[in-house]
Amino acid sequence: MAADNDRRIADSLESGLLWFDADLRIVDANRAAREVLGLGRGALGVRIQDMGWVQNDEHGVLMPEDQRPVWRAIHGDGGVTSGTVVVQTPRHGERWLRVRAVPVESLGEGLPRGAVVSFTDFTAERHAARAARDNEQLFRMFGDHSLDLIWIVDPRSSKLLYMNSAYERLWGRPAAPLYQDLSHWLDGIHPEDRERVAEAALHANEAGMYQTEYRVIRPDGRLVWIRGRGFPLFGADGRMRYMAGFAEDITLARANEALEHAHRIAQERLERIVATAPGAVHSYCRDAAGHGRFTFASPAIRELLGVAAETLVERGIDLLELVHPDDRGMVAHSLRESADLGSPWLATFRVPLTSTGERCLEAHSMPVRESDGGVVWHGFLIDVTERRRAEQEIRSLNVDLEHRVADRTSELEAKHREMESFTYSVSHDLKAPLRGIDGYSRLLESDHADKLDEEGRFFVAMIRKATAHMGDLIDDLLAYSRVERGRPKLGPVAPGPVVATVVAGVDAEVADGGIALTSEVEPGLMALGERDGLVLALRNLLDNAVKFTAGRPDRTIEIGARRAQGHVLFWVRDNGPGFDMRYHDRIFEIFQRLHRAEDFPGTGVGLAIVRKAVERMHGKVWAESAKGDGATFYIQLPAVQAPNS
Amino acid sequence: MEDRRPILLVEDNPMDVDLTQRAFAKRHIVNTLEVARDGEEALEWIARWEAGHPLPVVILLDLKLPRVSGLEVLRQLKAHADYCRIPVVVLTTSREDADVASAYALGVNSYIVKPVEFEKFIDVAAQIDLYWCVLNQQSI
Repeated sequence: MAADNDRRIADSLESGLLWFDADLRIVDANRAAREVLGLGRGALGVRIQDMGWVQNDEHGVLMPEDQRPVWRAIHGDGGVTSGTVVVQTPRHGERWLRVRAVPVESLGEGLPRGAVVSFTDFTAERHAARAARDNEQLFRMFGDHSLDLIWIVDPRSSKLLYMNSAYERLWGRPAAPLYQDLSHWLDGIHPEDRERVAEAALHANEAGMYQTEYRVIRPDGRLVWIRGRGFPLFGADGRMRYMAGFAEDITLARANEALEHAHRIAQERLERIVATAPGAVHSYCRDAAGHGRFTFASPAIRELLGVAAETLVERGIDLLELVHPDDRGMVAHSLRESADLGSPWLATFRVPLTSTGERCLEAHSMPVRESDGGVVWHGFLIDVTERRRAEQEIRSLNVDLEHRVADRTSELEAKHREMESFTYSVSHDLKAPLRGIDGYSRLLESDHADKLDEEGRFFVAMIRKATAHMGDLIDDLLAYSRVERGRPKLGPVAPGPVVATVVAGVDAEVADGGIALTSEVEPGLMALGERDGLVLALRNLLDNAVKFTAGRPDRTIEIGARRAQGHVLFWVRDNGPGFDMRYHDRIFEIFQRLHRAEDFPGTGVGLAIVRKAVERMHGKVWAESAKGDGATFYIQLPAVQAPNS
Repeated sequence: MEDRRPILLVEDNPMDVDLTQRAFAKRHIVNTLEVARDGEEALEWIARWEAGHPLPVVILLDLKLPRVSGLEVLRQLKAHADYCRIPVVVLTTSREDADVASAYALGVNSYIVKPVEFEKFIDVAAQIDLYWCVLNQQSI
């Protein structure tokens, strides 16, 4: 028991002091103990179990008697015991006490043995801690409901203090490793963004805040765009205690932004196309009642219709009002047809403009049926006035050209007729005087020979010879001009019968002149030509051969035809005197002769006729010879497929 | 030649007329040679025949004639109900196929090309004499 002095000391203590005897009766209590436990005077000498206090451990579990520090101090081995005891006091409710019990042999002089118990009441601290814990729990619950990531870091230790579950959702990674080592949070960030993100915190503003956007690659490969913000949290003393921040998923916003960007670009592109496209782009709408108006028109429409695009749209002007009155019915009809069939609207119509005169427009558009029964044509109008004019011009030029061709053709035909009548006249008019010369010189010779001497008779003979030659010249000239009359009628010609015909024509000369004539025609040949022309050409060549072999000892003539590189080649060979190849080209010209008339008679027209006849058949003619060694003449014509007969 | 009816020569060239007469003389053809100097004159003979003038035994017709052409004269003669049977021989310098074809199409009895040489001309006269004066006359 305490002496007065001791009492004063005991009462001054903040800790509670209790003295228990061996029967666990409260022997004494200091002021703090009395206040905390609400002990009145009557409590002294009362056994503790009779006090009605419920004693629990710190977990709220009822504490058995033998676990209690005071009991253990009394009944123990004499050692000091301690523990936390939660006591339910009738007056002050639940008290959290840290208890220390010291067994003593005597509670004072003449007093029995017992225990001195001291305790500190930490109920207030305990409540504060619980409140703090509740707050934190509340905060955590709040934080875990946030879609944004929330984090708090102790900047001094670089330890993560808090991070909500959004991390695992956004990053797709467990948060636990971050609590071990904060640097792991860069793991999920796109490699290209890591450095920038790490540096962002260093470039915080004066208030210590920073913001950055970066990409996170989730383990599943998905890319997430994050906007992160960081800021310091200050203590009451004004010093920074924590760094905290949010991270927000802006992937959708970013995608929308990209979409908007793409849309803007597409819009700009469309506008540029519309602005530069030839003609004007439009949306022209006709409602169910048939009233038309423009819902859209590009600026260029002003030049086509004479009305500005805005005016056209705002005032609801119908296209038909602007179309030339004569074309309105046709345009309305074509629109109706396009609407009914859903086919493209294609129309050409005129628009009278005061500024540039009448324009001719062409419409190209597709109809789209609206739900309200109306139809919208999206398409364009182009100005085809110039094109029309050019087409008109081309048409009139063509007509003009046709006229000119017709004129030229009839001119040519007239020339041709003139030529024909010329040759006709030649045959009549030149021969009539010749007949006179010959007739009278013959009468002179027959009826008046007695009045002429030898020389006179020779003169008359010469006159008659010259007349005969001139007659031949005129006949050949006529034959030559006859060759080119009319168009050649080209067709397949079989060489065999042609050669046979020509050979038959010289039968008499061959027999009379003792000529060895051989003909050789390759079978199965067919040439493209004109039978009469070919006969004429070969006959002239054969006549020449007969003529030029005259007077030679072994008169030999060959005629034939064979295939030669897609052509049919005819030849006539003789063993006459031949000619100098220097004159090759001259022999085919009209009136050109290489021999004296007394050696070989002729007019110099034969080979010219041959060349003209062959050229009419698009063939070629040439000759090979050496002077004194005969000559070979060739005619080449295109070959055609022989019929399988 | 027994038939003394005239021969009508339609010919514009006086030299040819003269030579024809001489060629006939050489062949002893003594029929009167009546001459029309162009196509129009030739057609005027129709009226004379109608008026009783003796019909010719043969008509020798040049084609190239002033005013009315020989072919037109031939056409009208051969279209005539009474005189279409008078033999007509075209005697011309033209060898043109078109002329020959047209003449035969119009019903000419013969087509002879006038030769340049006088001997041949005489031969022609002989042909005419033989074919038309001898063969066609019952009196021979």
